[in-house]
Formats: sequence, C-alpha cells, structure tokens
Amino acid sequence: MSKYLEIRNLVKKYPKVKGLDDISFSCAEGSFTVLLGPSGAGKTTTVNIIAGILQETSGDILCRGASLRGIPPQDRKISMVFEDYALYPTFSVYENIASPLRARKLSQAEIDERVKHMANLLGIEGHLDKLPSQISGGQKQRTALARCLIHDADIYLLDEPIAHLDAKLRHRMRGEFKRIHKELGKTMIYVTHDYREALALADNIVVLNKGKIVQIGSPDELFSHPKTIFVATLLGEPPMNLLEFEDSNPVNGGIALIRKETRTIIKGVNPVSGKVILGFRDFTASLQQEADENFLEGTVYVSELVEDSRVFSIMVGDDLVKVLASRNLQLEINQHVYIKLDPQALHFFDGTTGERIATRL
Amino acid sequence: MGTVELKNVWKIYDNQFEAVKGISATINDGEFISLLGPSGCGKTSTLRMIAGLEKISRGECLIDGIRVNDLDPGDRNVAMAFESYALYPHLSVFDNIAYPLRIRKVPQSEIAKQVDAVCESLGISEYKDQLPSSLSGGAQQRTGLARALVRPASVYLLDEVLSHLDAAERTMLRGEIRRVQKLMKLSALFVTHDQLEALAMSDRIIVMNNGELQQIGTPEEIYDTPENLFVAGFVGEPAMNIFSAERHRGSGQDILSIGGQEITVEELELPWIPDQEKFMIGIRPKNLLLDSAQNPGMLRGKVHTFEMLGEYTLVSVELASGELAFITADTGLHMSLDEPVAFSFKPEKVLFYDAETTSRIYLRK
Repeated sequence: MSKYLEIRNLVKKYPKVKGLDDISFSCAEGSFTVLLGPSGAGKTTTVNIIAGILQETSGDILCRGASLRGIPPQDRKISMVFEDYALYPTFSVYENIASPLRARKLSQAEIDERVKHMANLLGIEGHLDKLPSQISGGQKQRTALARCLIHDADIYLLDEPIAHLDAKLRHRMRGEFKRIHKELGKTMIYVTHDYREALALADNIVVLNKGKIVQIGSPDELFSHPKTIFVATLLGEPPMNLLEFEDSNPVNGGIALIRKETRTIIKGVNPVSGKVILGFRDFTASLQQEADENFLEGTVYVSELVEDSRVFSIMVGDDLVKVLASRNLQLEINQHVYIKLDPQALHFFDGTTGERIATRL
Repeated sequence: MGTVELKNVWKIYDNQFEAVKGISATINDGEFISLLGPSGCGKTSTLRMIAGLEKISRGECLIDGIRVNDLDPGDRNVAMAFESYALYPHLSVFDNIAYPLRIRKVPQSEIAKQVDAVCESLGISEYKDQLPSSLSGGAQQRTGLARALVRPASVYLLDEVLSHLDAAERTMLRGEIRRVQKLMKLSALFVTHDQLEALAMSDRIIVMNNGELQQIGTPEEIYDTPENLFVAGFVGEPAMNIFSAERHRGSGQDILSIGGQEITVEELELPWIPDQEKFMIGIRPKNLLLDSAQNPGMLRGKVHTFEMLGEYTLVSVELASGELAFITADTGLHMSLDEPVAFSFKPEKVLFYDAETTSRIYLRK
C-alpha cells in the first residue's frame, strides 16, 4: 500500500512565527523517507508532531488509514531516536537496549535473542556489558539506535541520528543505515540537513524550507531536476553555479542570454524569455582557449587541486563559477578562458520566482 | 625574498615530551607550503619555533639564510595569523590592520594606502570602520589575515586560519588566500589538519605524525604516491583501500591471496608485484573498476553498502575475507545490497607497502 503513513495539511503556528505551513506527504510501507532542509525548516517540528510530543495547530496524520489525532505518544506505535542519545547512565549497553522490551514483560530468552540480534546488526555486540560512560560517542549513538529499533513500532523517526559523530564515523554509519533499513524492512523517517545523507539513504526526499515543502522526489530527481534555486543549491558540493541574466529571448535553434552588454547564445535548448537564472554543475562544463558554440567568457580567479582533478574558479562578470578540469590543465591567474557548456546539463530558473523552466530538448 | 630552512629541528618540552623530532625542510621563495597532520603531531610547535614563540630545543632555523634561533619574534621578519583571529577588540578593523605598520613607524599616508589595498584584496573594505565584535567569523578572520599581509615579511605563518569558519566561508577564503599569495608571490607556511585544504592550496605539503616528518611533496605526489600507510590513510576521502596480501610461489605456481581469494599473479595483470611473502596493497576508491563480467583476475564480493552521493556513487564490497573494498563510480549506476559484484585494479595505480614497516615498497631495478 502506497500510503502507509499520510501527513495531511499539517499546520503548526507559534505566537510569532509559523512553524509549519500546510505540510502534506506520504510514506509507503517499509520505505525510507528523508526530511531535508536547513535549520529552522520545520523538519524536527514535523517529526515531533508525528510522534505526538508536539501538538499540531491543524491537519491530520493517518497511519494505515486511521487518524492518530488524540492518541498519546506512548500509544502511537512510533519509536524515536534523539540526537543526544539519552541513554540511562547506570544501565549497561545491554540493559539500555533491552529496556523497551523489559517494560513489555517479554521472557528473558526472547529479550536476549532480540538484544543480541540488534547489537550484531549495529556492530556493538562486543560492548554489551559496558556502561555508556565506557564507550565512544559512535558506540553510544549505535546503542541509542539499537534501543529505538528494537521496539515493535509501525514508524521509526530518526532525527539527525548521526549528526554528532565525527566525519569518518558519520560516513561509515551513513552506508550502514541502508543495510539496517533493508534488514528490518520498517517504515522510517529520517531528518537531516546533510544532502549527501539524504541522497544516499532515501527512497523519497521531502525538501523543507521555512516550514514549507519545496520539492518531493527521489534522490535522482532532486539532483538532476531541482524544481527551484533553493533545491539546486542545497544539493551538491560545490553548490550549483548560478548566473543571473537580465533578459533572454529565443533565437534560431536556441536562446540569447543578455547580461551587462554581453550576449551569450545557447543552442540546443527550448526557448525562454525575460529575466532568467542559468545553473550548471562544475563537472558538466569544461574550459577551453577558443570560442565555439555554447560558451561563457571569463578570467581565472584561482585553481585548487581536489583529489585527482583541478577545480578552477572563473570570474564571469562579477560572479565566480567553478569548473572541474583535468589536473594537468595549467592556467595562470587572470588568464582569459572560455567555459564550454553542455546544453543538456543546463538548468534554467525564472529570474523572479526562482522556479525551474523546462528547457531540455 | 623569503626562504625558511629547518635543519634537524627538535622541540623537547621541560617534561621531556618530544613534540617535534628532527624535522628538516625548506620553504622556497614564493612557495605555499602546508604543514599537515592530526592534532598533536607537532605541526603547530614547528610553526611556533619558526615564529620565535617557542625555543628551538635542537637544530637550526634559518630565515633568508640567517640563523634565527636566538632572535626575538619581532626581529625575525615573520608575520602571523591565528586560528582565534586574536584581534584587538577595542580597535576598528582599520586600526587592527594598521597596527603592525604603526609600531614600525610607517608614515600615516603610507599606512592608509597599504591598509586600503589589503582590505580590497581580502574583500573587507566596507568593514574598515567597524569593531571586530560586529563582524562575522569570516570577516574577522579576513581582518586577521589582512593584519598579517599588510606589511612585507620574509614568510607568512598561518596557523589553522580556516578552522573556525563554516564550510562555505572556509571554501571561499581558502581560494582567496591562495590567489593573494600567488599574485603577491609570498612565501607562506600554512598549518592545517584538513587534508582537503592542504591539497587545494599548496605548492608542497609536509605531512607530520607523532612529531616526525612523514613525507614532503607536491599535492599530486602526496595524493598519488603516499610514502607510508599513515599518509595513505590520512590523505583522501573516502580513504585509500589497504588490503593485506600474501604471495605463494612454488611448483610452477605463483599465487597472490588477497581478500580471502586466490588469484594467480599472471591473471592479475599488474606491472609488477613485490617478491616478499607478505605485503599490503594500497589503491584509491576511484582506481577500482566495477565490472559485470567476472574475469579470473578480478576480486569478487557482494555489495555491502551503496550510496548515491550526487556527483558520484560510493559502493563498498564485502570480500570473502570480510574486508571491505570502497569503490567510487559515476552516478547512474544502480546496485542492490548483497548483489554479487567483481572489480579489478587500475594496474598503474596500485601501490605496495611493507606490512611491518608500513613504508612503501619500490620496484627494485
């Protein structure tokens, strides 16, 4: 069933600011949904309302078709893990993980089996006898996750579960998360501000900004067809290059883009007109010394080695854009260059609204 | 003119702790050198000995050919910028930057000209009249850098100057520092724990660990051919794969066991393989090639993790031995967890390391 969990027109008003503004999305059974956005976007507010620990102003949440309205948190069959772990300091790792099962009065044999299975899955089976104070941050976080996931819940809410870990550990856990999800097959909602986590893990990403949904889609859709400038720059490192043009108009087989007395002709795209913003990612363009079709002109600002490539910052008018090149390419600072664009990899956005314009043939 | 020569420099603290153990290196005129290593590796102690803020316990430091071991910091003609900005809170941005010129009795008209120029190149002209506390971290650090760059010095010492800034500001400022350094042909020593920064900015990198020099080289050399397993593991993200390998020869057989699999040396099609029985193989994730065909010379395993990360995809493959191989591939690739896969090595990119000493093994000619 495609709407295992359905969030309908959720609104949360605070005295001064609007927390959530008409949030609607749904999650299929067993799916992994990521809420992605900067701080203050409304991600945590959304999951707290789903958990029932925060009251919505209006709207509804349906799980398997039944409204959760009025159902207290402990009766929602929802399990949540918090960024700050919240482990019992006097309990061993084993007892921390077992605590939700103890409350349900399961037999010792069953508790033992389930705790060990979960500890194995999260790679903390060697630390079960230790106290939280005797294990590392990463192990604490795994313990908190194991305790969350051992619940028999309908929905698992994971709010920035790996944000506190150092980069190396975070990257490793990011990969492991997908395995854990596959193994358990449960419906999960994961909150993050890190676009790489969202791309790596999600079946579906819900992008939030200032309490509103900006775009919902698969990782591929969001990365290759961002609906707005906000999404375009949220996903990608370095962020997508953006250049604003005062005016544009159709010409034979393409468009003319006008900015500060320079005219750029792009062929092989559908026509646009008026004020537009051109977007392209650093690895879709190349640098050359001669002008032919579909190019921008600029001067080298600086270059940097990034692993086995070289990233050139190019000053185009008053804007810097980045272009990925072979690291053997040597260009002097302030040298004049042409940036060759690939029409099939260009993004156009309305200069006023920031909304995507379909231009690819 | 600006050169620095370190000759077998040691730093031994009063408690006998050896922070720096016999470092020798040269900063050439106009060169940008990064001192890279984890915290506690001795990189900041090294920089502070050049600045004169720490006494050199043993060895020599020469600036522009002159031994400076016994000179006060003020007499060494070095300029410094710090991680913590260290701005005077009651002075405006202009006065902070002008300070080193004023104490050197530079004429007032000259001060204004030089401060304006350096503010312009670091993009802080609009903040000149403001107090540091009213500025963002990025603008405060630009002020700290401007104060270092405003006067001619033999060498500019930059101690973790980007560490406190947010990611966007850090990326921006690192490009600008490099641009200014190149345009003004400054000699600079930049201390950092961030391998990305060191690779991005430097002419050469000095890698340190436990007070010892691990490798000196261009960013390309450090990235392509790390001299030992420490450098191999420290530089590059995702990190270089390190597999242990054993070579068994005899009765007409020449077999390499790697990742719990046995492959004949012939089938591996590598340019060469060390003679010794045990060694380590190092190869970067982008130099492992996933293949749907399962040729005899390939390593086989199953997909352990699969992550689409935007510009590329990161796959980890669990080998028969339980070791994980990390492989980066282009986007557009789709794989399921636990799917069987095979991969081969880009032959010219394979490095060998001694399992005992962790040093690189070279082809003996």
